[in-house]
Amino acid sequence: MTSTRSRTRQPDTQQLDGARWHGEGFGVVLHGSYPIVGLAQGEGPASGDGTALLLDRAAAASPGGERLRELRTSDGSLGMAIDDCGELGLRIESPQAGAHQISRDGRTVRSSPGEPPAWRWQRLLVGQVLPLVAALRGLEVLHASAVAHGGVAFAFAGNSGAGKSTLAAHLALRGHPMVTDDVLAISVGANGHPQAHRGSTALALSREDAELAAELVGSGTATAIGSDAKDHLLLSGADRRMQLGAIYRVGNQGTAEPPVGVPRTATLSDLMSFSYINYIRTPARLTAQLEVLAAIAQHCAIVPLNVGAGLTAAQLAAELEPQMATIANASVTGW
Amino acid sequence: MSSNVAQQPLSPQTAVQVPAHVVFRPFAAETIMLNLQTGTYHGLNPTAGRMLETLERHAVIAEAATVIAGHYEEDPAAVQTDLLTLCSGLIERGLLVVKPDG
Repeated sequence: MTSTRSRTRQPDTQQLDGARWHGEGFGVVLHGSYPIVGLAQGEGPASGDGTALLLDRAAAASPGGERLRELRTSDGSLGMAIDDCGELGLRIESPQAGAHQISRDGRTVRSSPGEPPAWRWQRLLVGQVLPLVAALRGLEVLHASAVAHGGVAFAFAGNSGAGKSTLAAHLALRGHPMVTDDVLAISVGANGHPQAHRGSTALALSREDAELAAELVGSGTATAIGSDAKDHLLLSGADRRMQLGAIYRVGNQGTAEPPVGVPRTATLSDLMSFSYINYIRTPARLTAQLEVLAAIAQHCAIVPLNVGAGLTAAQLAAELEPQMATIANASVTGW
Repeated sequence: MSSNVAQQPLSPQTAVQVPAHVVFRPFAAETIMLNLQTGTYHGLNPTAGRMLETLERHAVIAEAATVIAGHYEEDPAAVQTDLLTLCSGLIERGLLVVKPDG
């Protein structure tokens, strides 16, 4: 190890290798040799039925496979790739954030981390790898941020850039604990109701939201953990599992539509459009997905949320609270 | 599947079942059937969804028709005709099969 890069990287890796950690994220108990920024840390001894997170430099070498999905950056270079490597499982790689080999049953993740610090390379882990693990283990994963209100989770689903994270951050500032940013795992509870699981409460806010980031840190709602093109914050998290109350579909319908629409029942097409992992279509995955989506449709409303109605995100968050309180109360009292 | 219909016309005494490669779940305003062999989703309206649920418990079409007609106070003959039509359509799409001893 003679290069500067190697010397910089070595201590971080050694530190990670030396620590045993267990926690929970996206409805999966995780145990391994490194802590994950933004996930709930485990209490007491680790459960045996979890997913093992292992550091393995060999995971850096691609065994080849069928490309399932890739994202390109604005200059055309590869941002992220997901490959099906047959018996070896699935592989998710980003040139900056490292490579991860995920077993087909979701019980083992072998990772060759990217450049330190951990919060940076772990964004791929919590943004892609662990959601895939959750899906392989029978949970449904939605492209949504979520906060808790009255012990019930409220999801904000929508395309990238729709304003999910900003809205969730404003609600966090108003005292509603963060359930997850960007990716929400759902299972079906024993009572047949959809259960939202805490994911990552590490939040990335764009420079446009610098004032909001400062407010979150200043109020003690969040801790700053780093910055690059965005401000990265760590928010305090909600309970690990709670009933899902409603899904707000975040979009821009213009000034002619109200900021908060009328709740309505969810259709399959609604819910499929929120699904985050659609590149795995095994019978087991499709069956589990249908089970969860049916539970959501039966018990949760979809509410259109119009960020183009002329309200600021802060005003929209305030506008939402009464409706969230009503839904939370109805959910808890078994309405 | 479609050959099933051609070889064995449905009668009220035919027993049907949802094959292993098909799962279905009730949604709020529809029932969704998923063919796991093709990955294709099929939506049923609430009436057809209730018929399918009844067929799960009463495989013989005439028996299912009697149960449904009694529950909704409908004409049994009309319900049976509707059920035969629904079953034919589902069998054609590979979402229902005639029971081997049916």
